[in-house]
Amino acid sequence: MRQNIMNDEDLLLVRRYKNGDEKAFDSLFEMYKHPVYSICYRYVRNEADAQELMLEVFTKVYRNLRRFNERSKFFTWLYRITINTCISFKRKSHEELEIDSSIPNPEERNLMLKKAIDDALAKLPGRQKMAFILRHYEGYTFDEIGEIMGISSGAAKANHFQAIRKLRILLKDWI
Amino acid sequence: MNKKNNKCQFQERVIDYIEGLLDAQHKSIFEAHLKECEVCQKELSAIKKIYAMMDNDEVVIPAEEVFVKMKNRVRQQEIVLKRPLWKIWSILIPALGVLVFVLLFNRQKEQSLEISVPIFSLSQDKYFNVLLLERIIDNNIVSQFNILEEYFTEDVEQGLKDLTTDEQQKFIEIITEKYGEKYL
Repeated sequence: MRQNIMNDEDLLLVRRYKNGDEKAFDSLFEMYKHPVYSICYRYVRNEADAQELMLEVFTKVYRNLRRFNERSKFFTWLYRITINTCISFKRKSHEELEIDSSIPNPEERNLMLKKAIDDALAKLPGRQKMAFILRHYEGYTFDEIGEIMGISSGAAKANHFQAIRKLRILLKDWI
Repeated sequence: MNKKNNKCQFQERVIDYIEGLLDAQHKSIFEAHLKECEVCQKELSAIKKIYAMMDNDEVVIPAEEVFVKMKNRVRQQEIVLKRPLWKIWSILIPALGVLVFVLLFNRQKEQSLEISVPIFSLSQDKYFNVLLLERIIDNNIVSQFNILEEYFTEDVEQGLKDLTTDEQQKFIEIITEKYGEKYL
């Protein structure tokens, strides 16, 4: 129900923007800035790259919104841009977090766990990682994930399951 | 039950079970199996821990001004993309106008020189010198004229008649090349 209301609101905003209402883009940006940022951050695992990705995503949206044909839902279109931008993103070198594993105090342990999760997610293929993010963090169904990623529902489920299987192996020391 | 080298044929169903993808009948069958199968119990426990770990992995949303700046940058980038087209046309159109004007002006100037200095007038020294002094003609034309001069008498028509056919032909070629056919 909420999604339907969102879709209607999205559509109205898209049409307002197409008719020259610049503020409609602001409203769409406000509505989706946090979800898009979260997806970008979870994918690249650092703030600088996440912000760069988000800028690229919304620049593409701003540039192409007038050509959005309304055949799919706006959020599906937006997330597809986000996913394709994330998957094609070439990670820039960042300083690796150096952790001394000989001092396992709780704070250090959390940092080590975070690094372990970073490393594990970095080892997942892009589509598996994205399927996992969309399912686990964004709560989309496999049908929706398939639609967003441009693959079948079964493929979306398979990607998600493969991601969990690999995380299970990569994070076995933390289980 | 169904165990072989720490594997279970229902192990793959653990994720379906956690994700709530099993229908009521399969769910009750799996739960009954789970009570007896250590492999699936371990698998369930491990995957639940993975999910818990991932749940604790929170995203720190940046401050609001980061998003405000980002939104402004989105528009600026779009303006940067659009601007060259506008700039190109706004510069190109006046530049083309100026170029066309200059070309036409220069063309007319050249034509006016040729139109205003007929060869017949140049045969009269007084006109020739005036034109030279007023810089309407330059030394290059003077030297060209010197070549032609030998063909001229006071009466151009008579002078031309006195020329042999070859000389007339040569004269016509020189005049045509330099000033065009309209003065002949």
